[in-house]
Amino acid sequence: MKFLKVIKITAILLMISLTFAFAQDKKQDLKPVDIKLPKPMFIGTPQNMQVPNLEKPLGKARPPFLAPAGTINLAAGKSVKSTDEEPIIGEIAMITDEDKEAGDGSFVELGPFTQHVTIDLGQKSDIYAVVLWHFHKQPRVYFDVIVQVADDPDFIENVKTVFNNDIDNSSGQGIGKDMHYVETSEGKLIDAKGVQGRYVRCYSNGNTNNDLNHYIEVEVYGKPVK
Amino acid sequence: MILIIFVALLLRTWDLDLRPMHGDEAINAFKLADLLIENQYNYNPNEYHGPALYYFSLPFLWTGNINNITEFNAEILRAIPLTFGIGLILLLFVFKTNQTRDHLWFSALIAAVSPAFVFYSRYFIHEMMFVFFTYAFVFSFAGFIEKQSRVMSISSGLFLGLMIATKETWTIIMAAFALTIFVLYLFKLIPRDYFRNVLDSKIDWMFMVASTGIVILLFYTSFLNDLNGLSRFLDSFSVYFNRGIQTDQHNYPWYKYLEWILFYRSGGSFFSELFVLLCAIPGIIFVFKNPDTDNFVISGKIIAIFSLLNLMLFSALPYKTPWNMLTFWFGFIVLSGYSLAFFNQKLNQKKQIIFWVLISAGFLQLSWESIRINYVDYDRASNPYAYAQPVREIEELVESVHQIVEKNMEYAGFYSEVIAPGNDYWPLPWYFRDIKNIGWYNHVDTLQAPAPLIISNTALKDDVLYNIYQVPPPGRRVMYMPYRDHSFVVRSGISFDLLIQKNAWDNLN
Repeated sequence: MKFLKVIKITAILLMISLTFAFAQDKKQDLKPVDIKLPKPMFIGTPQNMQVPNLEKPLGKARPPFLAPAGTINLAAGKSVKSTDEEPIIGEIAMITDEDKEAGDGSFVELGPFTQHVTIDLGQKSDIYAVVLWHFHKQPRVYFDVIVQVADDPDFIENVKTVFNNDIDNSSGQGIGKDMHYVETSEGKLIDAKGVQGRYVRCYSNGNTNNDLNHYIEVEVYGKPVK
Repeated sequence: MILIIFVALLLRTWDLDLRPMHGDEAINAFKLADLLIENQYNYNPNEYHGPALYYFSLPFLWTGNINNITEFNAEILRAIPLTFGIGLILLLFVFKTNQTRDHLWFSALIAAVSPAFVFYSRYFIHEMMFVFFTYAFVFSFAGFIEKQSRVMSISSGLFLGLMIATKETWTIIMAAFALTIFVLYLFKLIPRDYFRNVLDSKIDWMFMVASTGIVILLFYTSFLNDLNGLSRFLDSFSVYFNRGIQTDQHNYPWYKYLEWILFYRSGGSFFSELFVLLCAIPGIIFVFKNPDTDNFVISGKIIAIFSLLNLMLFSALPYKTPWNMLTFWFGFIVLSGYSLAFFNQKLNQKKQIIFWVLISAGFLQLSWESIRINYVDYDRASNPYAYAQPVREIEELVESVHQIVEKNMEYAGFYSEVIAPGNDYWPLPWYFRDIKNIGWYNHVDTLQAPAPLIISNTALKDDVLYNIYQVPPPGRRVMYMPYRDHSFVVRSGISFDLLIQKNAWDNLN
């Protein structure tokens, strides 16, 4: 009997010590491991984008834009005119060729200072949104982004400004209250609120990297007026 | 003089760590840590400039008994340019032989309160040291022309060597300097006797060349530990030449320097150091109109043409960053002092009252701008010198990451990854230098499982989500939580998101 008691006590003690040992082991498991991770790579001075009135990033995908059924990109393949008819890189027609890639061969580079491009939609249309891609190979902010809609190519009749972030009127189209924004592959969606017109004109005046102007694509979503 | 130094120190030393660390400062800190800990420095001709900043920083770290990058702090690092910023003011007094006392005081006072010089004296980059060595060389060389003294020739050589060992833009500075001497000689703006005497002192020239050579040799070979450093030094010529004329980044029109320093508008605010230029213009006229007996004649003429040529050369290059302005701006400050001293002497008592009212207004405006851009708008677009400057909101990201890491200390296998295109995550390595398990990536690696804590540039959001939810097969996908519903702005236009694995998220509560 006494012998059995000794065995029982020994077994209990053994179990306790084993549990304790396992617990210790588990505790050791919880120690953070040393993982070989890449060190930071050095870079040169980053580009300055210290721009006043800059909109904060959403941090998530842009919510879908709702427009009436039958809305299409009216600008696709339409003719474009520019204040710089001889671009430094690319051709004006690339602005409506539906190629929105960031790489070389997809963008047109216009000269310095204020430049604009005008898209002829072919007929008077209800315009719900304009989506602009200037350049998105690297983060940049373009200055004096102004989008206007009019009935005539000279922008005299029925001119309506749907977007203007020229905070100091340096492009002469009036002081704009819209915010500067960082270019992304999503493009900048401008709510045109169903404004009517045949011609869409987009201004810009250099960017945070240089004083040149670039366009990858301009899309104008709407429906022709019947 | 004590009062001027006191004003200079007061404006420069207060809250030295207030401005978030700039990416360039952070990189310089890491380079310095390599030299301190591993006693290793190898000159890189493509980036990060010359070795002088790192070697001159070592005594500051030794004094602070700092042995590791985790012991680094912004105050000790910024004390280094600050010392050279104060040194630049003292330099005026050291080389006082060419100037009147009034002139020195005015120049020193403008330098003490100049917003540009206050701002970059609190900025751990090469510039303040570079301007110090440049003007030590210019003053020495002017002294050499004037007196043909051996001390001045050796001092010219040493400071030229140190200038070369600091930053590759020395080539532009020296091109402007050589042109200055040529113009002075060609148009007989300095009596030719001076040049003849200088050219005759061949031994002095040998001393000058030898002292420059020795400094270059020592610094670029890491004090004879890396002899290949010399060939890399020669390579830097073509690298920086190409960058100066052909650049995709920091490419600005010719008037950008003038815009930054004289007419900077941002939103509703306006910044200008025009007062300095308004004072410097008469100074430039006076140095050429005043008789040769005037005791500022040689260095005054050198500084006038040198500063103007520097402004022109730097403006002509498309590559522009605001700190490059300091070299020509200090010349204008010296000339401002000269003209103010001249007016102070020549004006009658009645006009002197108006003069002092105007001067006081000018000094007050400069001092106010210094306070504003260093203590209020130090990270904002309204500050022309805050270039690619991280904003104060970065502290929220830093605090959040530290909190997450701390709460997950016991979580086995916990680590973090920072992802930014083009490795544009600086200065985060500085702020996370105490975090052990952290990896740095320039793209989302879909061959690797995502880390429990992902700190990623907002532009990579889609790639990060793809790697979390699309790459792993069903059943092996791990849930992640966004730390908050909007991004953390690190600097204007650049923001980061925090995503945490669910288990790690649970440990936060």
